Amino acid sequence: MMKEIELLKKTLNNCKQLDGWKINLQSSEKNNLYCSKQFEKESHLMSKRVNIEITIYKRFKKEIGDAAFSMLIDEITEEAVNKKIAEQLIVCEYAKKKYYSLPSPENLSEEYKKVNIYDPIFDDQLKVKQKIEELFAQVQQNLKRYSNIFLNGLEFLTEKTNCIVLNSNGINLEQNKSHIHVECVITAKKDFVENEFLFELDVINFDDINIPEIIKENVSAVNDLLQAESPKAVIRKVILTQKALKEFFAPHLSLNPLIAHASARLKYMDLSVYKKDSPIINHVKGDKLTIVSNPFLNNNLSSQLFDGDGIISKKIILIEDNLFKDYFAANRYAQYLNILPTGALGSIEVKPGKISEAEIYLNKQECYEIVSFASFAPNYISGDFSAEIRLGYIIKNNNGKLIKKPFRGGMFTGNIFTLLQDVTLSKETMITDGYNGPKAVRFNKAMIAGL
Amino acid sequence: MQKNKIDEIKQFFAEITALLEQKAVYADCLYYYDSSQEIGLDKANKEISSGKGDGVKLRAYDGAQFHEYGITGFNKEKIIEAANILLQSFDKKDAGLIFPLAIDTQKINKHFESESEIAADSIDLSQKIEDTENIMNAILKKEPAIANCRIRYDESTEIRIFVNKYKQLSQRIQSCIFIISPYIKSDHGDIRYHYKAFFANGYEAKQKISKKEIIDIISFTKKIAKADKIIPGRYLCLFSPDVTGLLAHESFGHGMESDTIYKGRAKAQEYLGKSIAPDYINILDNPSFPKRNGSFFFDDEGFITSSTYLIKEGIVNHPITDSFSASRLKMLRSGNARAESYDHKVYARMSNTYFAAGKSNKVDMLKNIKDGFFLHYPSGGMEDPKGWGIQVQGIVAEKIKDGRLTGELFYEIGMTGYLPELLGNIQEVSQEFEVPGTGICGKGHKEWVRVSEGGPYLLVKDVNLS
Repeated sequence: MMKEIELLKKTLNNCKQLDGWKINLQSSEKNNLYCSKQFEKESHLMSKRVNIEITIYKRFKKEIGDAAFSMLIDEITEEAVNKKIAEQLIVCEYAKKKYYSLPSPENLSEEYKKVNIYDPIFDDQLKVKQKIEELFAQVQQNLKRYSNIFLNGLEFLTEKTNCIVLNSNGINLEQNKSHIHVECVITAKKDFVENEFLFELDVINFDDINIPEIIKENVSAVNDLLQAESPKAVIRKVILTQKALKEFFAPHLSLNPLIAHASARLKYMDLSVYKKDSPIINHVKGDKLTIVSNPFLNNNLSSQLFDGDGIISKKIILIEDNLFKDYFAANRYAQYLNILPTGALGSIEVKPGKISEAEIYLNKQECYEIVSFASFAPNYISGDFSAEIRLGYIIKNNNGKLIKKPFRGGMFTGNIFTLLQDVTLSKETMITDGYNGPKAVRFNKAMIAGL
Repeated sequence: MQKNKIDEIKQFFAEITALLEQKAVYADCLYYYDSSQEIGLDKANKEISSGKGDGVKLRAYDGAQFHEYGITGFNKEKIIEAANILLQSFDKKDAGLIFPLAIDTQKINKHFESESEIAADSIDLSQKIEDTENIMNAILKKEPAIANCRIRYDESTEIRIFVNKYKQLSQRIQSCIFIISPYIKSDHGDIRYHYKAFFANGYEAKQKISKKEIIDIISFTKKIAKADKIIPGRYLCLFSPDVTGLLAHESFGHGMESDTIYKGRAKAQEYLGKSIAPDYINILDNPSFPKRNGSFFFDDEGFITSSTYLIKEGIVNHPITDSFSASRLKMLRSGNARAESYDHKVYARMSNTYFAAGKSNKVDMLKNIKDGFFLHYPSGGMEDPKGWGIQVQGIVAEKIKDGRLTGELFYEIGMTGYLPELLGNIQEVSQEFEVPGTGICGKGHKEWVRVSEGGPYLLVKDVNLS
């Protein structure tokens, strides 16, 4: 690919009508194993993908026009690139906006380069394939121990990505990242009842996958589901733990509204409700939240060394003791709001509380614990949510002894900003893909809509 | 893409499949080409971009499993190299160890094109930008209470060329979608938004955004600003076609994907051939439905598409299938094998999923509701094929009193329940019928493909809302 990149750079630099350019190159290699029920192998997929996106910039006095486009790898010739630039210069005129400058190389410490987000095994795809086979065998071996548990599906998806950002001001950044995604579905059977549980794992390093522990944990969950009942509609104390907690603060499909409103883009669109140094939640009765974006956690998939503009990522305090502190900002919006750009958003770190996890569970009244949602997809702007509960526990305090009864179904429903008015955070912490914070979080007045 | 280029690719792929079948029981090749033009506007932003990408996927079936290789571009040398890597990755199986694959052996060499009234490439980009700006300005200037309005125009062209021993197929599908999202500060102090999308295969999508539509969008957004949260409970409800469609897709459709059934992950398997709903209930998946977001002519395994009744007259009928799971389940193939791209695996996936129209009249159905809700504009849902639990979220509900819509809205509502119970609670099905969906669907949280969903208005009792 470097031949094509050099040609692109040369052609873009030679075009006198341009006031700047940027190239984003992303290459990826996949090595995936897909299994059906009872470990029947369905497919082994290997792939190599390359994407090149070019953005050109044209200045018009106090305005700038930008246009992003991509080209097929096989059509990158000097003539074709020049033709494309001519077309896209017209687009720049249509896309005129308030002027902003392109970033230049930052004079920063090299610390960001020390963050590990790549497993060197990915240098050799044969070794990756071998590692996948080893994990496959380990799952087989470990599931054998449980006579009432059956495998319904197993996928090992691995990807090595290489990202390069180049621009006309001399930005030249490169990042390698590895990603292993394990998806496993197991069923527990007892008498005529059966229930399934799907669990996923996303890590950087093969060595971070502990199959015996993962299987043990999830076999316990699926066995609990065999006895699970449907919940009734209640307003109770609700404790989030495990995957549910990660999903709450760092949902899969969109930003948590707490984070979304700290976006400089949303502020510039006149849609952020946050004001600097003002409370993000009114009438707080419980713990006050402190939330940080940390793009430099070692061995964490949410870590990013730089963003698509070539801005080196920074650790940012978004919220401190319930007061809004700083926006996360891409280059353009940072200039518009006269703040510093922050690079890519990282893992969401929530400052732990003062009481122990054990105390979180100690309540006079019955309370509910949710460990897994079917999907947690809040309205990123209003904060409203309703999420089906995949596995939870009703916890009763019997003279200091806690009795846990599993349940599934029903919906955890409400508004994130209202819910956080009265929250208790544990002092013990957990760390997972995209989340680093309290191990248990208790909402002291929350609603579960029953069936 | 010119016909001679398509023919050249077909001819080359025929040679590659023959090469792979020297060792494989079966092989196929699929070329993917996707291009797009996007315009994104709001009062603070104007973003214009275009994209283009292509790649090839080779598959070899060794009699037990597939071996696949995906690669960017169409470069003959690299494709031959990939074919040789594949050939080295498996051993030839003895005849006795071969599990036959469900492959259609009818020979077809054909090209398909989606039809549009106004070809998107016949309209200048400047015109498209102007149209998009006019929609935004019409909303923002008309209603100062609307804090911002995001308009997105997405135009795409998708080309697929499939070749195996029996098929040489190509298709070109174009689509245009306008998405309108006005944002408003609510009476409760939070920011809320409304969302409406307009789809067509060509630029006629723009013609669907009439002045009345704009006025309706503004009026609805203002009502959302005043909306409350609903008191959780069970209610008599009238479902709009978009809620009907999401129910068909999320709650039932995912459980009728043959790979899910083969894995023992779908409760529907126990119900095949059995009654699950009143006899006036029919649910279909139909990739050959013309001019919809989930339409295509052949699937990613070269199977020509047609409709499949998932539920026929209340009885669980037939799953949608891919070749691997269909052959093991000894089921008929349907044209539903789809992959997100050339570096993704094929799964059995939905396309256009909907309830069939019934006999009732929407106005009469509304009149029959003394106290209830009209449900529309859901934002999404999640499948639960094993438990048949329902999760639909982001619904806007409008209060119905004495057979009339009151204009009183309730925002961000979740619907939950148990699917057979909800299907059994459907009392009436309207003649009025729409398949408006413009979304994408994932398998869990990955493998995204474009789909649509819809159907008639449904009158449903005891709907669990929160």
